[in-house]
Formats: sequence, C-alpha cells, structure tokens
Amino acid sequence: MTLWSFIEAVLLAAIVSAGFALLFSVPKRTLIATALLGALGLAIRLVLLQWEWSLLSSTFMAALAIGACSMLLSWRFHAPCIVFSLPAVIPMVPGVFAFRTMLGILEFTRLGVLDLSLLTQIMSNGLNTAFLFLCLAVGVSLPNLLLRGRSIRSVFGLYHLNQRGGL
Amino acid sequence: MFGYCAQFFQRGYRARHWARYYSAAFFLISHLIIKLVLMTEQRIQAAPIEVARLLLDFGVLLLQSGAHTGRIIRNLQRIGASFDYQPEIFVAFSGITLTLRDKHGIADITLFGRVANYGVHLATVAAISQLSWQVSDQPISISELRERLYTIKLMPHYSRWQIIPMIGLACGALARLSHAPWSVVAVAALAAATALWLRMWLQRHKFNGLLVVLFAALFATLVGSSATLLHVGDNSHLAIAASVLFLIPGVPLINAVIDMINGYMTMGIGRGAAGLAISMALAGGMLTGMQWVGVSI
Repeated sequence: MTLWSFIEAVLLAAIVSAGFALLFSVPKRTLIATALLGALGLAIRLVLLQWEWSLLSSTFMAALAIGACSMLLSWRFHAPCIVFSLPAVIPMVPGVFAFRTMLGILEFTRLGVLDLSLLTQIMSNGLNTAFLFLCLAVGVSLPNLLLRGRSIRSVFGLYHLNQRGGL
Repeated sequence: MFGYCAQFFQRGYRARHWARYYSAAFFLISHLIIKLVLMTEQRIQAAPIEVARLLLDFGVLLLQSGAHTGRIIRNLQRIGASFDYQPEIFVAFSGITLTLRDKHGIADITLFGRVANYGVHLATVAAISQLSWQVSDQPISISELRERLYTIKLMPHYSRWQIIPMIGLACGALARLSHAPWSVVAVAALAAATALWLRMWLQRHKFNGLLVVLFAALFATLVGSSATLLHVGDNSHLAIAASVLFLIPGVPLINAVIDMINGYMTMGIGRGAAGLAISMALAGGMLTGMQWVGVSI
C-alpha cells in the first residue's frame, strides 16, 4: 500500500464520518472532532492490516481506539460518547460483505441445487458481516464498561459536582 | 424570649440576672445560625406530579432521539435528585414507566409516557445530558426546566441541502474505500443522494418506517445498477452496495448491544429486533430492485 493511497483512504474516512454525523444531527461544535476520529479509526485499521493482523482483530482494535478516544472527547466537549463514536465507526461497516451474502442467498435460491462452494461463500460472508458488526459495537462500548457505570467526569474530576446527583 | 429582651432594654444589665440575658442571646443567635444553614441546604420544592411529568417528558425525548437505556436512567435520576426525589424507571420499547419516590422511600406517583416514533438526533441527547449536569450542580426551578425542555425540543436537524450532498459524498467515499473506480464512485454518490431525497420525502408524508427504507433501497438499487448496465467501470456492483449504506440501522443495533451489555435485556432485544426488521426491509428493497433490472453480478 502506497503512502498516497493511505492518505486518500484516511481523507475519505473523514468525509464519510462527517456525512453520517450530519445525518445523525450531532452538535455543530463536535463535527470536526467526529470526522477526525473516523479518520483515526480507519488509519489504525489500515496500519494493523499492513502488519498482517486479521480483518476481525484489526477492526476490533480500531473500534476500541475509537471508543477510548470518544470518551476523552466527550469529557472535553461535554457531549455523550455516542456523538463521536457512532459516526466514526461507519467507514468500517461491512457493507460489501453483507451485499455479497445477499447475492449468494439469491443465487442459492435460484439454483436450487446443493453447491458447496456457493454455500461456503454465503456462510463465510455472512459470518464476517455478523462478527465485524459485533466487533464494532463491542469495541466501541467496551472502554465505557471499564468505568463500571460511572461517568467520565467522576473519574477525571474536572467539575465540582454535587455528589447527591445519582452518580 | 421577647420578655427577656424587653427586660434587657428597660432595666439595663444587672449582675444577678446575667444567666437570663445570656440564655436569651444564645437562643437568638443559635436560631439565626440554624435558619441560615437550612436556607443554604434547601432544595427547590416542587409537587411530585409536576416533577414526574417533567422527567417523563425528558425521558421520552431522550428515547426518541436515540439515547441508550443506561443514559436515560442516569440523566433522569440526576434531574430528579435536584428536587430531592428518587425516580424508578422502566424503559420499554413502547414507552417509559416512571415511579417517583420521595426521600423517605415512599412511592408518590407512577406515570407512563408513550414513545411514538424513533429517530436519531444526537444534539438533543447531548443537550439534555449537559442540562442534567448543570442541574445537579445548581438546582433550577421547574418552570425554567420546562422552558429549557421546549427549546431543546425545537432544536432543528441540519437542513436538507446540507445533508443530501454530504451523504452523497459519504456513500461515494465508501465505494472508493472498497477500491471502486471514480466513475462508479460518481454513480454511487448520485444514487445515495437521490435515494436520501426520496426517503426524506416519504418520511414527510408519514409513511411506515419500514416501507420508507424499502422504497429508498429499491430506488438506490435502480439508480446504482445503471453503473453495471452502462458499463462505466470495473467492480460496478459497488455502486449498489455503497449507495444503500446510509440506510443501515447503525444506531438501533449499537444501542441494542450496549443495552444488553448493561443488563437491560428487554430493551436490547427490542432494539435488536427493530434493527433486524430495518435490515430486512433494506435487503428486500435491494432484491426487488435487482430482480427488476436483472443485474446479475
């Protein structure tokens, strides 16, 4: 992978994140941060793929990084984590795998005979779709779980808070 | 007490009454101090029915804008605590049930708020979260909170002419990320933008949510398949695959996983089922489109 194609992919990821951030109506002040986080996530995944990690594990690590960074950003921008993490994982959504699964099922229905290679393709593509989606969702929410239900502000302690407030 | 004071002013200090005068002064001053302490500790008073209605409105708005269950419960508890009430909340897919207890643990009132339509508006979630922190720092009166709620409810989406080109660009970029040539990218962007326009039009005319997704996917497939029919480049199937990606139910599915991890199983299953239904509508629309055009890839 050349440097230019890497930079192009990262820029495209930023555009994708910004577009979906608009669709999800994120606050205006967090738009740029969201786009940058999406670019960061895809960059991490590309680098890990270059180091010959598997697609699943590199996606999981990228989602973990997005989840952790979104917590820091949520502390900085006073907005929930999901504002940053959700548009940022969209560039890694397994759209092509899902599409191939669907086409395979359609072809399988049309043929009506047991074609093992086709069946294997359907299974492989379908499982890839499901596991990639699960990796994204779990990876994004895992850093939040490490706080054990507390809010990020109770950890960093930036604000003077009234402790009655159900933290 | 006033008798003692009057004595003090009329006759002046007399040595044999010193105990009386001192005790009177002591009573006065301690009374003032206790009063002062109570004033600073006083929370804003409000009737339980009003607090319950306000919390329920906030909860319904959060659920409609795509907050996960744990966040809804945390925010409502924070706002309720500023009035010295303790809400017990059950979030279901069709609405929120809320029981308000006072500080002695006595259940005062139970209300139910129905959630009509699910959408995504993350700026609303951010604004309510910020408000709940502000309230837990410094309590706000109930009428002012209502005003804040109305201003949050009126927060607009981005304008259509901002969203449609950006989603076109985003879906084109997704096609490019899967190594499509630029001609196919252009078709994908066009297909996504027109399909999003159709989806917004259908939503404005109050169609069923699943039907909206189905028709938008069908339209995106029809436009996207022109890349294959016109032979604009290699990997032309990516135009179809990328142009429907703005329809994937990312928010319900990720919220489903988060809810299940946090132990809100009914809500997790409900959201997961909703996401699955939207995916099915999406697949159905694409399949119908490909059958019509006869694109075999």
